[in-house]
Amino acid sequence: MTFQPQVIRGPFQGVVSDTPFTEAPPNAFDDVLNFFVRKGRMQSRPQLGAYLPTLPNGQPVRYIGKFKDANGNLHSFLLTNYSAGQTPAYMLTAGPVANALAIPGLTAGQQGSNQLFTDAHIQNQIYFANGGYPLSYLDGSNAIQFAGDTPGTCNFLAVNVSHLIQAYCTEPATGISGSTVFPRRVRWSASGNPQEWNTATDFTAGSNDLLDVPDDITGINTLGYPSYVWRSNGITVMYPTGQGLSPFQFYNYSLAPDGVGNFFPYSLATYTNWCVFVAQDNIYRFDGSNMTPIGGMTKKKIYADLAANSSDQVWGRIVPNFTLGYDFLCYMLTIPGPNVTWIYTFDDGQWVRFSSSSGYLTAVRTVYTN
Amino acid sequence: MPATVINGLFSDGIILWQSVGGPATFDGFACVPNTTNQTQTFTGATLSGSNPGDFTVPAGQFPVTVNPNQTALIHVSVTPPGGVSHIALVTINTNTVFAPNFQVTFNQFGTQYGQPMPSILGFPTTKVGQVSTFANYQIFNTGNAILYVTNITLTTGTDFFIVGAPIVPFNIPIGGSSAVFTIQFIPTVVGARNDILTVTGTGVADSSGSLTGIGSTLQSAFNLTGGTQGSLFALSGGGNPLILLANPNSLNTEEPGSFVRLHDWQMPNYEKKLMRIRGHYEDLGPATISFKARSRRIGEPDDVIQVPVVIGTAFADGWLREFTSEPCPLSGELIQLTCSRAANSGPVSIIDYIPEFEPAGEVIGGT
Repeated sequence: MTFQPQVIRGPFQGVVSDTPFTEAPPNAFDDVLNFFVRKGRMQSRPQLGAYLPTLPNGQPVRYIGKFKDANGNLHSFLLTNYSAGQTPAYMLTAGPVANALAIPGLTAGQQGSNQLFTDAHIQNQIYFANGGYPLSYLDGSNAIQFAGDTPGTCNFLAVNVSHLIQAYCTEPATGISGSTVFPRRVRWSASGNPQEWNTATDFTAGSNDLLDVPDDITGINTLGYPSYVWRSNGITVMYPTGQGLSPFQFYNYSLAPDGVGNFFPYSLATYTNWCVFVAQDNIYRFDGSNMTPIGGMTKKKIYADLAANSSDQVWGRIVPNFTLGYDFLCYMLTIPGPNVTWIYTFDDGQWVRFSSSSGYLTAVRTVYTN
Repeated sequence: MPATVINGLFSDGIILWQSVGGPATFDGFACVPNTTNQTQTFTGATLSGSNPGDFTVPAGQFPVTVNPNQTALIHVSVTPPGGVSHIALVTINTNTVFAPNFQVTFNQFGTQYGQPMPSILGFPTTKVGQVSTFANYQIFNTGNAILYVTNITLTTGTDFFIVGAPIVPFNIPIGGSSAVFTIQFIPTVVGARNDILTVTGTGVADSSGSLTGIGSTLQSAFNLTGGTQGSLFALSGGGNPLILLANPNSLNTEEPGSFVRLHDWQMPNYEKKLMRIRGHYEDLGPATISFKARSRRIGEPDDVIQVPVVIGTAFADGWLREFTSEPCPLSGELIQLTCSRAANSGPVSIIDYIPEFEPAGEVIGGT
């Protein structure tokens, strides 16, 4: 007897939740977990093996970064949650070993933060902040240093025309008497000097409070020529002027109380001159001129997970590969609570899920390891 | 009027007047960057070298304040007095020890010219005493006669070194170039370092190129040599945070995984009897997958059949191979198929899978 076959063949689609299964293509799925849709195949994802089974201060890693210092040496580093009296930064060396970096003396009451970090590279140094300690940087030496006369710290960082830019500022830094959060403030350093923030010393430094907009800053990045100040429900564009006294001009892309913005602050992920962010209605790819929704037919399940987010921050990162031998340009959106990471592959344009019995992802990065 | 100051770092190692002559005065501007981390006041200029009297640096453009990351445009003029070649070194005086300099050169008509390339060679910031990487250098004959090079020298020779220079004298044909040699930068002190490489020829004008670099005091720590990369996944760990490393060469996932789909196979209102599942996979090595078929009826337990399938070979040659999962007889109008693998149960790369079924009559009664 001849049976009827139903061929289910690649290129496979990922998770399709926004239409009844009878309407979905036969090679779409109700769920894909720890499998990747990759190059037309349905593959088990790469194995994750032991690297650092425990962390020096027992705190979750909030950021993994890499940079080349002014002497041309390569570094990879970890930034961890706040723990009183302990450094938040560790340099990786072969072994692997997480080497603690010294931290400057703190002002009375000064505290760190458990928020996620953002970073910015300028002049072979890497600056980082998470709204806790004063804006800090690594230069390849064995210590963290505070960024000159920075008035405080911030949640988000970017670089444009030789200025280091802080957004969502806390001045002075958290825990210091008088510390105040300015959720709509953008502050930039002197031109070419990320350690000079005093406008009286160098008039090319400055700040601007976005008083016209109805929502708070949730991120900042530079895409090509301008920088984009992301808000919960809109965008403000920050154009370089070329004028030392007033190096940036601000244009509010939208002022409506509701709209497309970076609703989950750390979901903003930048790659080359484009980025991905999570708004209230969809997940978008933005290249400075075109805003392309990529949530596709998977939004229902992703947003159900976003609604269930608890205990920690949603965050996203664009990853080009899992080292060069495994190209996999993707956006990884981690949602604590459901403890799931939704992965969108740009080559295949599909969403799948990642999970681990070791909890939810707190950072991911391809870095130098020896 | 003070010299013009622009934002950004721009540099000219040399102002070069070529093939000009006669009694006229010629003007040029040199970019002089403030490469220090403090504001500088340029207070004047000092001319030195072979022919300082042939050039003029107008005094009215000083003093001028130049912030870090800014560049001053310094005006220099020359009145050719005749002769083949005239060279001077302009050193900018400042209110600190910072003393940038640049060369001014005037070449007469008909001069044969050996052009060092690159004319401005900049090195990355380098720790004092540390040896930079080598930078390639070459001399081109841009003149209209054979160039006879008699010497290649550095003006100061304290921070920059010629390595492997061609043995002089040697000839460079018209339009030709010298053998490639290298320049190395070993800063002796912190800050901007400059030198001038001069090519001397017989019967020709000297020619020069500018060498620049910055010495730093950074003491690197915890360096990673080689730059081998790995993809790190930091996880919350439920109270014991940890970091895992991705293995790009192994799809033997350490966690269980699955993909699942509810099917009606475009035959609504018909019971279907699933008989087997065929398919193809890439052979990445031994693995076990499992197909689970499930149907559901009101008031009754789910019908479930799970069939493990061993796939892959020790060859792991990527060959496309077939598999069959049978028997898995199960009936229902809607049948959910789940393909899963247990943790550490081998690498899986599915190309296709093909459920085979037969209609088993109309659904009676429904649910």
